[in-house]
Amino acid sequence: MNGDTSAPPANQDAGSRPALSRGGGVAWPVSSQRNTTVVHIKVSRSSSLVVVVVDDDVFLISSFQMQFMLLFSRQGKLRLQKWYVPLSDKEKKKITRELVQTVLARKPKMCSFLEWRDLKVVYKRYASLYFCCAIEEQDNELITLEIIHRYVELLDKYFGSVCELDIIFNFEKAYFILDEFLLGGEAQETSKKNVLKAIEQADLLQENIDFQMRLFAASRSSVGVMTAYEDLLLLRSSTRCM
Amino acid sequence: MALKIVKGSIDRMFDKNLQDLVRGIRNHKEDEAKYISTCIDEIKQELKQDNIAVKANAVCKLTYLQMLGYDVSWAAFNIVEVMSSSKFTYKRIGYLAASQCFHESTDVIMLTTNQIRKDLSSPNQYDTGVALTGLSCFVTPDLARDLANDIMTLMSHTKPYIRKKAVLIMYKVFLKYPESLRPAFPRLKEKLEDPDPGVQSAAVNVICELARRNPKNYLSLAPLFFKLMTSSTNNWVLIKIIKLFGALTPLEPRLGKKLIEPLTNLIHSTSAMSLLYECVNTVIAGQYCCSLGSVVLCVQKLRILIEDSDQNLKYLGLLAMSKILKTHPKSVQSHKDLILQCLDDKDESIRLRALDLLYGMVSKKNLMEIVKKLMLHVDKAEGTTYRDELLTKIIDICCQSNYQYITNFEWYISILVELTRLEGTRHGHLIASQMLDVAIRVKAIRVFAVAQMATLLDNAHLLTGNMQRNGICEVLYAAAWICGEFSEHLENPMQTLEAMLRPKVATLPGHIQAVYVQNAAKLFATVLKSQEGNTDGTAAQETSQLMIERLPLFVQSANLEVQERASCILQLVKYIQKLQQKDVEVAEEVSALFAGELNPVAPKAQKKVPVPEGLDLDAWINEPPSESESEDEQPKAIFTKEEHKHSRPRHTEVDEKELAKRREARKQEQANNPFYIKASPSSQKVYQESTGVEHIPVVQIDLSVPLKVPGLPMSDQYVKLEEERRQKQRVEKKKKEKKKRKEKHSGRGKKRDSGPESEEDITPAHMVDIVTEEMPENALPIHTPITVCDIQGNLQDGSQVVVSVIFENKCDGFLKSMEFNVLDSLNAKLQRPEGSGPHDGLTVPFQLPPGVSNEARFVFTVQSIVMPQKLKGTLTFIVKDSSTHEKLDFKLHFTCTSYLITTPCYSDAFAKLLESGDLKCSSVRLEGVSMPFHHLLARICFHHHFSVVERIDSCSSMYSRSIQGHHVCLLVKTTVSIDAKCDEPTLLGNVLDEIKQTFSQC
Repeated sequence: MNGDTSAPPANQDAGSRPALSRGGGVAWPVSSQRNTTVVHIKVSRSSSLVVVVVDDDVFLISSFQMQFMLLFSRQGKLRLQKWYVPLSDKEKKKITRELVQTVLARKPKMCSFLEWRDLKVVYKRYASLYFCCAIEEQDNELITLEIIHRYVELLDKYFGSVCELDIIFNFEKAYFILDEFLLGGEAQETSKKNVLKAIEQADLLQENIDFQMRLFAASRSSVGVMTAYEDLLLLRSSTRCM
Repeated sequence: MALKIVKGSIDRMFDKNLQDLVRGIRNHKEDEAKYISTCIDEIKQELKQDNIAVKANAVCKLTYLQMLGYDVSWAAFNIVEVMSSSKFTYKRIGYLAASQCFHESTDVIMLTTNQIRKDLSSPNQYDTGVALTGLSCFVTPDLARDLANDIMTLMSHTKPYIRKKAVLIMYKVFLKYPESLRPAFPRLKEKLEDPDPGVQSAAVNVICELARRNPKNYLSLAPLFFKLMTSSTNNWVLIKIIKLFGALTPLEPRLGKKLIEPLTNLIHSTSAMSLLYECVNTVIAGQYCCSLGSVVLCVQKLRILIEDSDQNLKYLGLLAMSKILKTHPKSVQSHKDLILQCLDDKDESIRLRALDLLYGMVSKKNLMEIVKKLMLHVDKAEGTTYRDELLTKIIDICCQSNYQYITNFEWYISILVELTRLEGTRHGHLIASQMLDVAIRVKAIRVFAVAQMATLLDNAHLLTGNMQRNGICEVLYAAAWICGEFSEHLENPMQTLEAMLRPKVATLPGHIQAVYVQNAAKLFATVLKSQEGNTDGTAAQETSQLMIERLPLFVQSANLEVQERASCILQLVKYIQKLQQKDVEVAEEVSALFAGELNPVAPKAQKKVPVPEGLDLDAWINEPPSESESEDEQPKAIFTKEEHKHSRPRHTEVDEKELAKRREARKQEQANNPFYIKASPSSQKVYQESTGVEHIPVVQIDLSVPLKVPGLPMSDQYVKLEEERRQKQRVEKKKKEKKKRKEKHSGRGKKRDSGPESEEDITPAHMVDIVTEEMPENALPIHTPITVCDIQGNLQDGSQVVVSVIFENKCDGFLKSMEFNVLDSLNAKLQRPEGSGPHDGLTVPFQLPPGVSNEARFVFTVQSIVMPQKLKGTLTFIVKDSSTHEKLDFKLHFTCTSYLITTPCYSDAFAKLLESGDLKCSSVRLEGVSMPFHHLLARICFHHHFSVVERIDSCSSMYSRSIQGHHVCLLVKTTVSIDAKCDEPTLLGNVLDEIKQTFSQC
């Protein structure tokens, strides 16, 4: 531990650090001066936090403000889940079950926040769907509610007055929208327009997966060769259009 | 033929895309598991195909199944295959599946490194985007190490779409691979000023999160963020920055002063509730020392939140309010009405929050009122959980800090008795322990408590009505013990004895029966005593007979404790009966069995037990725990490395100084707490048996209300009584004060400096008895044995104020070891000799024989003199021959006048001063003053340290100077109005107020 390591990261001293090659695929060599300690801390019965200490930079392994987001129906059926913290499947299932029960048991007039384990849970019901997020102790509940609402608006815009069935049958689209909106538990884009634009453009790139499969199936069967050929032509023209 | 089969199966297979799967699952509600297992079999088949479209379809279906809770980890390799497809369509599905299914222990992640690197550098921005999104979910330390460089390059990508994603994902990379932080930081910092607002806000997010974990290293960025904060209009970014400053302020207090203005501006101006809430929270948590105003502003805003019809805002408002309560209880207490309203809310979580708040809001004045309201809610409450919560809160509120707020313990006992009527509560033991505690520690209440408990025992059937699910019968444990232990106070011990020996008692839990049996014996002793006193031999014998008849029931008990006690006592009673038949007087001897009073033992009583010779308590009994164990025990060390470093040596090497310091601080704290049970051998002052007991009328039996247990008191009546009592006190106090003042003016009359006020505004009717151990026989006939008579502020230059205190001993004891101590405020401090701590008292350098008075001087340092202030202090002393430490609380009142020095001033200098224009103007009218003008002037000169500069006919100009050189000029007119000028408006205002007060008293 010398004086140089305790300096803030802003004061980069190039001398002691390996020079970085721009865009190169070389992994950074681990400096031998640094002491890295990994500490596991039991937070609750089931989850533990991993803390990495490098010199004086202390890290809590966690996400940004949001820990995870769950969408579930009034019957308690899970419709979408996104985890921003690394947890095992078993833990995820346990948390989901507990949380769905707790939230469903709340009366409609109650407020949208509850303290749960060491987290704060923010949820809101839209029609038959519950949107439920977990955030950390010092995070802002109201901005989380806003994030939920913003996501619902995005879904609404994309599907055109969204309903639960839209999300069930196009669950991957729902995920794509969420991923464009949030990254690692933090809102990456506050403009609705930009999010939708990105999704639409990505969708343009996406070819019709059903069509491809039919083509493949047809190529295997003697009967459907001709139709497949026609389909192929169609496909070519459609890709050219793009 | 074979071809046909193949074709058929392929067709069927390909019919099932994701939509079909979902539809299928919905159609097979009864045998979902079976249906899905066939689907999974099909998917396995599909994954074996070479066609990437089929594979992607299968992976898409697997992702759906994964969400439903099915294990798909076996398909991890296929997911990687789909991820590496060159077509965006499939890549997207592959990355989605990976982000949902992969976690750190998935081993195929190793295989993805190069693929991800390729995608990151793809010319298509959506390929890169999808890879970044996926990576954010499953990044491992290895991936982070290998890809950090690539991602860092992307932070300077031409497209903002990629830049913002890359910036955000850097945070995940830092977490997994902390080494990357240092080289990447400069570029991250650059992004704070990125032209694209999205990238900028991403950079703010990342740095704020980093700084929240370890604020120390990011202090240097404060100016940059300050600029952003004042310029940004994006609420999301503002919230993050404010959060960041919240983390930085504790490290750099100067930031607080700088921030308070923009924060209050935001609070005033913003319409976004989330931003407002964040600002309020930061102001509350930031302990911005100089900003009472901003706290008031926060409370106002929170009030608006709480009054809002939106439950969410209400909840958050209460939450934030409880944080303010910890630091500024006064400013919250004025909103008591609002908090009480919240108890009526439909939402239980809001009600619970309000309850939490109430706990911190009670005072002596409002305790009864608040508890009365809560009792109403207990009656209305539905659902046992909330009712139990209410019950515990009521008890918590009442017993907090050693019953500090209870002025009438009869009221409290009645509340406890009322609470026993709750059906199905789990907290019987809580009520019971409170009853025991109060009955043991408050001697004055015992008569009343015993009467109440006897009624409870008599009506035990009401409590135990439904035995199955009630913990309320625990109360009987306390009732039986109190009746037995303090049986001398029982009005009709025989009746209680019979109640305790009823056959129904055998249905109670074992430990309660045991107490019943034991205390029946105590009662028996008391009954015998009274009956033998009546010289009626037969009655005593009948009592013994009753015991002998009833006790066998308990001897048969299945509970060992009950059985043992019962058989012991049964034998004893049989022996007594024998003696009685021989006409021997036994009562004395029987009661000797239970003689002596059980006293509560101080928590520190153990200290009095001498440590046996040769025993070293500090030595390790066994080997100290190994390093590895101690690591687990130090979760605190996560947050700061320093602590981690220090904590180890602390184990072995005890810092003597530190210990002594802490001990001193603790003692100080204890000394300031009048309810603290002292461990010292000396017992404390005995509070006078309060007169409150006598003038409380006999409990009225309310038979018209059938639900109530007859004979139990209603706590409500005490609220009324208390009001009356306080009214009386107030009147008396006023009378006394008037007298005092008169004496002062006619007697010493030197200066109007207000003397000490009594510490308590409301004198309690009962006090918690804090006498713990031996009571000295010659306990003092206490009436305040000493008064601090007069305080004179004398002035020297600079900021020192000398206060002379006259001590007068009014009791018949000889006072010694007097120690004078004042609780320093920020502004005024008692000057203590070098080397003593900030809370040490000063020894008064003399002793006081009865009736003698003497004067001592104390020097105070005062920083700001523009405001009057009060200091609280205590005087501890020992009355000779009793070795008792007594304590007297007082208040020192520093008026602004006492900071003024009579300074002569010539009229020309005075005129110059007035013309200079530096002075602020103010004026005041004195009402109802009917004294000659020169008397008036003399008074002002004398009481307020002014000198007359010039007197012309109907008016006079006067001058004085403060110790810090403020000029104060007055123009007093015969119309009894004063125009005043001073260079410090606050000081002037206060001086004028004081002058006005002087004249309003005459």
